[in-house]
Amino acid sequence: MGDFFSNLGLGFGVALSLQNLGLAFLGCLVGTLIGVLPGVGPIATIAMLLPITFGLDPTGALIMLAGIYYGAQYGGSTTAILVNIPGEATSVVTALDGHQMARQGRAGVALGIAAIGSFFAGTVATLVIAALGKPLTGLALLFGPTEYFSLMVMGLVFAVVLAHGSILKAVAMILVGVLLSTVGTDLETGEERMTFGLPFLSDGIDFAVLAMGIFGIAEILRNLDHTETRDVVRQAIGRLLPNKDDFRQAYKPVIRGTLIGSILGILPGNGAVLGPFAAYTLEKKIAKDPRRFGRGAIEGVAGPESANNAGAQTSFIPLLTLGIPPNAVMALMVGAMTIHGIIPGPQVMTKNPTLFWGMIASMWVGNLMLLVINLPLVGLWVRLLKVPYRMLFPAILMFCCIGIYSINSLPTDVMFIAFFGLVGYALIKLGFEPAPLLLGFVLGRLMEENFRRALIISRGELTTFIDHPVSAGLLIVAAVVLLIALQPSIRKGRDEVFVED
Amino acid sequence: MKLVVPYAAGGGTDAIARLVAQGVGEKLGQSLIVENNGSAGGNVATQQAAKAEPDGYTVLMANQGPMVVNPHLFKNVKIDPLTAFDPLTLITAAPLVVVVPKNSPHKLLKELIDHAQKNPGKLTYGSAGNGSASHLATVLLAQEAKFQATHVPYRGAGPAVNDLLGGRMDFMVTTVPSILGLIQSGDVQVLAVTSKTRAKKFPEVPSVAQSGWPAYEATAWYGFVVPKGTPKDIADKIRKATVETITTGVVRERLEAEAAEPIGNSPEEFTAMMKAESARWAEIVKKASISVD
Amino acid sequence: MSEAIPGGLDPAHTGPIRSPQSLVAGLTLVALAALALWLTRDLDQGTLRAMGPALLPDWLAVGVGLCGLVLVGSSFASDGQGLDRWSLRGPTLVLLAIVAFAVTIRPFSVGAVSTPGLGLAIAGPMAIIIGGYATSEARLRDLLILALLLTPFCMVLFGDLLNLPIPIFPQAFADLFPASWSQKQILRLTAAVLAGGGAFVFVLSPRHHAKSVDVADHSGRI
Repeated sequence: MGDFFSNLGLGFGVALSLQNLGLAFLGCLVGTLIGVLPGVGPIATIAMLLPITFGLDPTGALIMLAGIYYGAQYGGSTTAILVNIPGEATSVVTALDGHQMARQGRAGVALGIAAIGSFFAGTVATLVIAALGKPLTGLALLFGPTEYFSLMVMGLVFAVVLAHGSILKAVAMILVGVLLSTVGTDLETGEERMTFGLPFLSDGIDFAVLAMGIFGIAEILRNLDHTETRDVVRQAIGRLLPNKDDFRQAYKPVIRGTLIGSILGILPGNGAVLGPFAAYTLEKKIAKDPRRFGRGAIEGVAGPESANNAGAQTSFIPLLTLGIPPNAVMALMVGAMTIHGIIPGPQVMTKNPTLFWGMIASMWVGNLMLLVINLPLVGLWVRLLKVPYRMLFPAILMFCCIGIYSINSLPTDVMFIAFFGLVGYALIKLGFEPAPLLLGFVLGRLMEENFRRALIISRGELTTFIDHPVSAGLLIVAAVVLLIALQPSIRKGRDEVFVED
Repeated sequence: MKLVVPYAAGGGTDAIARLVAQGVGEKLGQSLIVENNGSAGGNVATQQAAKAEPDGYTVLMANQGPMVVNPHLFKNVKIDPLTAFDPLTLITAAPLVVVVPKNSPHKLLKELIDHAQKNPGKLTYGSAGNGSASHLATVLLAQEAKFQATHVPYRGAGPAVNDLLGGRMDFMVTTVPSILGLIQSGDVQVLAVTSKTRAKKFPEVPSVAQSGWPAYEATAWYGFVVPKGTPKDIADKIRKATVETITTGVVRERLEAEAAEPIGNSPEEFTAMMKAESARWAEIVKKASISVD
Repeated sequence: MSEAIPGGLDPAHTGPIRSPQSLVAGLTLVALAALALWLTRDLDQGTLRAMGPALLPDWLAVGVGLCGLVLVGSSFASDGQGLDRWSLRGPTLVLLAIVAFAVTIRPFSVGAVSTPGLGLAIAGPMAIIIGGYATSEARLRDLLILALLLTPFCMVLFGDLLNLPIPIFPQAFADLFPASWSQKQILRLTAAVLAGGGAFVFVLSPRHHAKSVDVADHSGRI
């Protein structure tokens, strides 16, 4: 325990130096900015900003890059809440209730609770990394393709619960999402699937393109249809910050979300994406009145946002303790370490203790800064919603185009948001919900790849999924959740549930 | 000016590409912007660069994969990379390493391969993806040493290394930066390097060739090329700036830290080398009967 | 979105179809499933030990198709919503704006036709103005000001501050400047000129106090 405090002390000594404070602030600011801009992701931006960090010392460089990373997570929620465009897989759920809150004039409350919940989650996750980072690495290694597949199955079951309309339609959307995720070159055989021979489809559909199309552009098309609900906040804008009642409703979801997010974030291979979905499912299941979800329930923002930030934080564990990057942004951090002559791996902690602990301490500092940056911004964002829609949507449109173009410099990506916008519009008209489709899409690819890997390793034995205890446990949870989800429709004895309207 | 990099942003090699771009840009007095596109094994970026105006504003980072392997591996490569570009210089040719988890019973490459030969198809190895340098180096090893093992492709080296540590893979051939930290901490053991001779970085580790398969050599190399027809004087200027950048200062240090010696040879040497490599990989791919659409 | 969308036709109880929305939704799923099966017809299903590329897509397609069939069945069995009307103007112009941006931001060719790369300075305003007309309340003056102010803002934000590799203007335009000018200097000057133009329009052109058009179903509907 003494070690723990002396290590943290060392870390804060580094993180609180004037230069590092400045870099953390700069990183958080840039991160917030690119997170808010639809489409512009942290990957493209960090890659472009990498040369700027060449001249810095490695600790400072990594502190800034980490700041951009979680700043972007923060900013992404803002866009999801204000204009219903989830920039990252993790903010899809935030868009569900957050945007509804915004439509009800409660954008400030949603943004506020997201910021405060994230700060709490970030604080806890920082402590988790500092205290348990090393032992938790073992947990990550337990997770192989078999366990991962079962985890994804559980995630897909959550997607059923996400939907608030017909369960049948939700299942159909999940399947379509998984189907879309199989478009592109097959990882194992290298054969192209469902690409129509188009070269830009050979790597599959980009998440940002799909999400921006079926959420963002479709939302614009839908709003253009409905003048009366269109100006997002026609009614008076309510409070800018959450009040006591909001906190009372939100504090438990924040704690639960933090726990879920922290655990899932540790898993290799980007387990953090599941965090917000799992948190949302949990909140909806234990709520007294689950029908409020999807209609602006504050718990539906507080839980997932906390899980999101906690996961973003703890996903540094595999990077810091093993040197294995769990996602593309972390891979860039590896690049940054390489440039500075630091070899990512288990020895960073002992060979570069100032870097290791300085970075951990700076995570908390960064979270505090994000709170300081974002709370005053809430007023500004909410005012943005007062811009007449006829001026707001062309601006959103242009930002979307630029953002998507900046990801791969491909005009075809931009055209695809138009295509998926039309698809999303059709889905709305036919009574389908886009959120389960997106979740199916995100989890689908991970699920297929791990399913096949698990079967190669087990030489084709399906029993591998039951023989592995962790995997079996996850599948049982999935089955139970599925039963609970289907219960209302079974009890009411109808094949289709339009209830909840 | 732009530098087209035929794989996605992130990771050690991309970082070095950016470092080189920075240095070259400074020497030429303008910014060299990196454009990543990893689609279709790098083929899309390579084709785009081939079609770009040969005005000296486009430079391609020429990787082993898109330049000499993919034309034999993919059925739909529309250009011949060897004739579509004017080579400038080879930057580096980095060895890969054959690694096993620390609790593996095999302490020598020979033992691992003996075991693999006696148990055809039983051993499992991970790779950074179908057609990646790590996959091809293993395929070549299996051909040379005449054994069969089961391939499990991953998306990038990271998750594959994770499963190697978790004991679900028996061995792996991978690039140095993707595993160096774990080698230093003793979590994995290096059995051999894939260069012809020992690497300066791992003086105590023999090469595959020295372990009993003298014909074996596989490196992950990359250099700079420009679209065919780029004016000679401009091409020379870029080449000179590149060679200066990679053989001095921080870039040299970083390359050496990854067991990759900076090279900076002449366009003629680079051309000859790519031709030889292309012929060699055509053979290997044909023998292994792997293909990618 | 399962909230009742106003403006839709009420459940059409004519004939045996009691839920037209479910019928169309179901048929769409069936068609999608058929498309997926057709696209993967040449691919190998493989075995569990060595799964082929088509195995999972085919299972999924079957699942999607079954969901579709159940939906079709339910459209005859239980009452549901009618079909919403599709508007034409919004989607057409929004999509047109996006495509216009895509083909002009950098040179783009389809077959023999290719477009010049005009860069953000031209593609941006074009997207705003075309897209802006997606609503019947569009006013050219306002859109012009928006385009002339937002474009330089984006040029500076994306091209200058964030350093993203986005073409800003046509190469021919950049060639007009002396060679000693850096790309960034040209960018900043152009941005300033555009913003100045926006301010000019704002100050000089008369402001229409047009009656606020706030009635749904104004035009362009089918």
